[in-house]
Amino acid sequence: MVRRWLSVALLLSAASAGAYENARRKEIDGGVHIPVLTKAPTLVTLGKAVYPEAAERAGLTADVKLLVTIAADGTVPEAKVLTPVGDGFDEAAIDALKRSTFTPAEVDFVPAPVQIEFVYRFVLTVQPVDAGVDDAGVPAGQLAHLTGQLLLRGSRNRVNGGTVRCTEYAEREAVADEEGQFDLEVPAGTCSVVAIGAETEVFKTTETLEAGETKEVKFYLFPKVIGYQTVVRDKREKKEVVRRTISREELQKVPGTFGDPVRVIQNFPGVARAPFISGQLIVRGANPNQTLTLFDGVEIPLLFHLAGGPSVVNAEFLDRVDFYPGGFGARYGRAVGGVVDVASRKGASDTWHGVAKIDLLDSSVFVEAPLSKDVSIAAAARRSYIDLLLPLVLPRDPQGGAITILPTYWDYQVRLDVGKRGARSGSTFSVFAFGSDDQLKVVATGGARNFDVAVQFRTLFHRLIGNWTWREGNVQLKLTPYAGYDLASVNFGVAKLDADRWTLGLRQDLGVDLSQYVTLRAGADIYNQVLVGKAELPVISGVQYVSFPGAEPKLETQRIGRTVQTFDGAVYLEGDLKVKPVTITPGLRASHAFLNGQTRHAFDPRLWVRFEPWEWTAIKGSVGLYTQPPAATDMEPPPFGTPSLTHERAFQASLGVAQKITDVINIDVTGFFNRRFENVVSPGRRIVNEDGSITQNRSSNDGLGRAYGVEVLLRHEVTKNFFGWVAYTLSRSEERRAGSTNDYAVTSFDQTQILTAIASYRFPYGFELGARFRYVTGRPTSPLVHTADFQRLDANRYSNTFGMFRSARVADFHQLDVRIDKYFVFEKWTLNVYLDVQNVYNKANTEATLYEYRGRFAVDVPGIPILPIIGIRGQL
Amino acid sequence: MRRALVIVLAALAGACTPPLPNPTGVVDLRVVAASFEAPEVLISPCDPRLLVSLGSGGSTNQIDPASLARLLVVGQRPLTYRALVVDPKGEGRELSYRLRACANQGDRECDNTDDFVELTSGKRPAGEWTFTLDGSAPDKPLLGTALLPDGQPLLLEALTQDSSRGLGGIRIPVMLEVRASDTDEHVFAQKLMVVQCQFFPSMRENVTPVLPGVLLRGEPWAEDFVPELSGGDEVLMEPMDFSALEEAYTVPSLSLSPVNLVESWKIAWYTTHGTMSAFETGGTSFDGNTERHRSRWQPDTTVKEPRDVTFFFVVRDGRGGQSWLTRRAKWTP
Repeated sequence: MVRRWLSVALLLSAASAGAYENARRKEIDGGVHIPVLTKAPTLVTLGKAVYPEAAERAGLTADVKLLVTIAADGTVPEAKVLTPVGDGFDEAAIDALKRSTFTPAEVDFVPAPVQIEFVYRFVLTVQPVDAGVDDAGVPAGQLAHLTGQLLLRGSRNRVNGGTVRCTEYAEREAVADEEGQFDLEVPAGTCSVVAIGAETEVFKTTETLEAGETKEVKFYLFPKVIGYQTVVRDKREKKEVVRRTISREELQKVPGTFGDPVRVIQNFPGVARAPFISGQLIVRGANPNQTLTLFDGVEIPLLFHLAGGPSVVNAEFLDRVDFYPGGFGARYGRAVGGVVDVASRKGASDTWHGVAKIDLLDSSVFVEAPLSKDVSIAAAARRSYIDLLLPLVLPRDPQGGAITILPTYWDYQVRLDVGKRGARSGSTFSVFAFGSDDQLKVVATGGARNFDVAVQFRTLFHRLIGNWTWREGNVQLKLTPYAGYDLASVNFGVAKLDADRWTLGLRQDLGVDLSQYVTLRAGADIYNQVLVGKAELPVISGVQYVSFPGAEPKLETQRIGRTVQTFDGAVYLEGDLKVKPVTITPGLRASHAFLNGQTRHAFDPRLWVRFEPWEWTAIKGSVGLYTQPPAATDMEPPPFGTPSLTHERAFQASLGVAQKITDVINIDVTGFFNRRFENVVSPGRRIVNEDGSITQNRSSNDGLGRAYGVEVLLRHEVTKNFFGWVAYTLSRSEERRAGSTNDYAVTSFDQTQILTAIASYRFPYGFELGARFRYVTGRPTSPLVHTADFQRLDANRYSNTFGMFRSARVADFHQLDVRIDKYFVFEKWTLNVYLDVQNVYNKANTEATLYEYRGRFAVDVPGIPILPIIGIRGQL
Repeated sequence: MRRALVIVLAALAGACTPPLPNPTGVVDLRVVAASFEAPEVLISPCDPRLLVSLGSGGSTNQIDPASLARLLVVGQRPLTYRALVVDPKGEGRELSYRLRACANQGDRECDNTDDFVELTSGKRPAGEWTFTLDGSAPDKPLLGTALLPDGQPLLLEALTQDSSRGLGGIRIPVMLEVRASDTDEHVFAQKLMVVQCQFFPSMRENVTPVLPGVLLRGEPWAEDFVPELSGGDEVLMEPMDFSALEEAYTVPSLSLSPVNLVESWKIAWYTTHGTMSAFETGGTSFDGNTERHRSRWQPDTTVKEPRDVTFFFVVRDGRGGQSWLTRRAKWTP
């Protein structure tokens, strides 16, 4: 027996990513030209390494991990060993790689140099002393073909760049193409097959081939790791001081967030912890309604089913989430807080895939598939059945009557993409339709109950978003028309409210690279909404007449019908002036709004500066004005609105430094100062007219606010086995009312220190462990000071006595959440079973405060106790 | 949807908080109710411009002198103030009290400098206290004509401090301060006296609501009947039907148009032993539903000795009218 060696090359990064995954990143993001890897490099010829003699004699094997630079022409000018193994393997691998060639990688459809990780594997195999076959000179009639496809076990992804050999003829090798197809020509006879891919374990089997036979096979290669897909991530140019981008892998894996993107954002710096588990976003001291949430650039009326349920868009449909806590680009407006932009993804181009999820409360399905070479589709749907199951688990009515609780919801998403893949110029199109319906019916009657309840809520919306993206040379144009319909309905006894709203809108983003020094971006953001509202409701005490405390009277019912129009048209222009290492970006957004019959204008100048003294260091700063128009419905005549309302305004400034520590670890430290003014606050001013009547405005622009602090984010990007981050915020947010003699006081959501640490690690055998720890300073509260009982006998209530307004805090919050996943990989699908445990050490965090009815003492209401949740998910 | 489940669990977590005292159980010094007779004084007829002008401290030259005279005369109406003071643990001890009126409803102790009028004070044991304010003696001043230390009529100062300029009635807070000298118990109980402007002919002066009676386990419960109750079973109590007594009335809207309303009385239920299942019943909610009036008495079964139990049923009409019934029973474990 003589030992022979076999080298196996593994592309760890680029090739395995697959073209379709990268193609998803063909975006014009924020009107900014972002270099995108549109074609990954694939191995054409692998230089044969010389097995180090001493190592071969000693029977040593090795895997040499290298960082390989692939030039724009596919050659390898440089290869560096990342983890030296010695014994001559490192030098041999470098030598072999420099003699290898690849298909050129393409960035924005143009060949460009890239770096990839590569493993050169040195394996000793046993060669039969007398194989009985001499490869050289085998007559053509004695040859056979082993042809077929390499697929990733559990997902059926193509193993692009994988290799197939017969160990008997090691010098004959087939490399799988983008579709995983290979064709190996070998002499007839027994073939001990060895197949391997970039992210797979070695696959071995035996095939017997007759002379002249072409045998077609499919090999399912076991993935080294399951789930994460390592992608060559391009550096997305940043002009904003802070933009946090979360990938799909992170969105679905953060413990305690249930895979909801907005909840994941709550774990970033600058975002205060919302009470209980609500999805509210409290960004740098701004109110939740001052942060704009967009889906593919379009506003949606609600994010979660039934207020606190799952996201209205299937998590499988999300590609990434960009979060701007402040200082966002001129493309965005209508917000004085932050911006969340959730991006959907296009369907798969390789083959069809699907995900089915079933739990006790709802079921959902997601399917994606190519319809032809240049057309793909993705669709998802979900329907709850909690209305069927709830009666089975609800306890009997303790009042002896009847309780009916019927919550139902459904949602759908369909996206069709058309466009030639890999084209360097031309057009791509997409149409995306999605919608959601929530209904809740609660009836409680009879028994010992003194008060019958019958409530019905419904929220429905549909959105249709089109997209045309055109590229030619240095010009990119993106046109996004959209239409929407919303329905909101409330039935509560004699009170009925119905509102139908139709929306038509258009977004246009143009990017032009004028030279290497100047890039211009311009666009428009226009929409028109018509709301038709009808209401039957009692005369509203305290709003339509001055009420008296004690016992609410029986009231007349009034019918109200209103049609309210909202038009908001904005244009923006900004440009990057790049003189290395400095980039200066001035921008301006101007808007004209027609709100409920009134005209409002806003001009928001903004400026960003980015200084990169070294390759891995960036110092960045921004200043700018930001405006948010009032809701047209808030501009109704008094007492239902305030016609004089105008834009809320904010001045935002920030200064920070981003430092890359390694390829995957970076730290970002940012200081910020936000000054908000003319915020809309309620109640509005009360004006006594000369005739004795009163004009009670519902709200006014008297709100003032300021927030300042420092945010730190230490982040480990998604790699094969690990991702995580540590986020820390030290801040203070304050508010007051203009015209008031009171000084600034901290806002109700002010949290001095917020620390969040998240880590997720993938272990062998399909196990994954994730954890999230949070520490948050307690929210402000006014201390209870009881000196006497203060009774209001007309209202039959007591008045509590408090110390200085918001001068105390509830106890600090801290909690640990843990998630354990186990993947079972079958030939064509993967089963994921997970256990998500909230509040592992059962900390009784204070979420609310109850006061004794005379205000003599208070007790804390604890939050969620330890809560394990088990889930199952199947993926094709 | 798991989050919805979590929210439910979170709500349940709220139920894990330590039990709080039940407001239906009167176990220490408390002012259970107070009333004025009459509960409302109507200025008839009345021009709203008068209130605006007076409240703004402006000239009254433009105002009909007759209207101004009526406003000032109304303050001479005698009033009777009654309070139900309960002190179960006091064993008949003397309680010190002060009764004063002020102009600012937000003045929790009704003692802002130069902004209140001392009506009466003294010491007496708990019970039903009655004070007549008819101007017959220095400690019985007429509320409507009382002057603040700076000489400003209390009624006009209350109007000045009212952001609604009397559109919901000129409301004069009257504070009963009760203190037990041997303990730290200290109670401030505010009752509003309402002087209403008759903007529309359909506006009528409010009448004190009075419960016609109480049903014990469905049977009429006379005031002098002391039933014997035993064991730990709940005892159902209801008011006798009073729906015919609930008045229709009119108030002005903010734009000075008439708003027609119907009283929807509320009853507050109290006991000196155990608890009542409902603290308050009645009233009309936003959805137009009216709550039924039922409450179940639940004795404290941890007590092993017989008890004399007193029940108070306080009715409010939502316009400032208030009265109460008292019933007694003997309970044995």
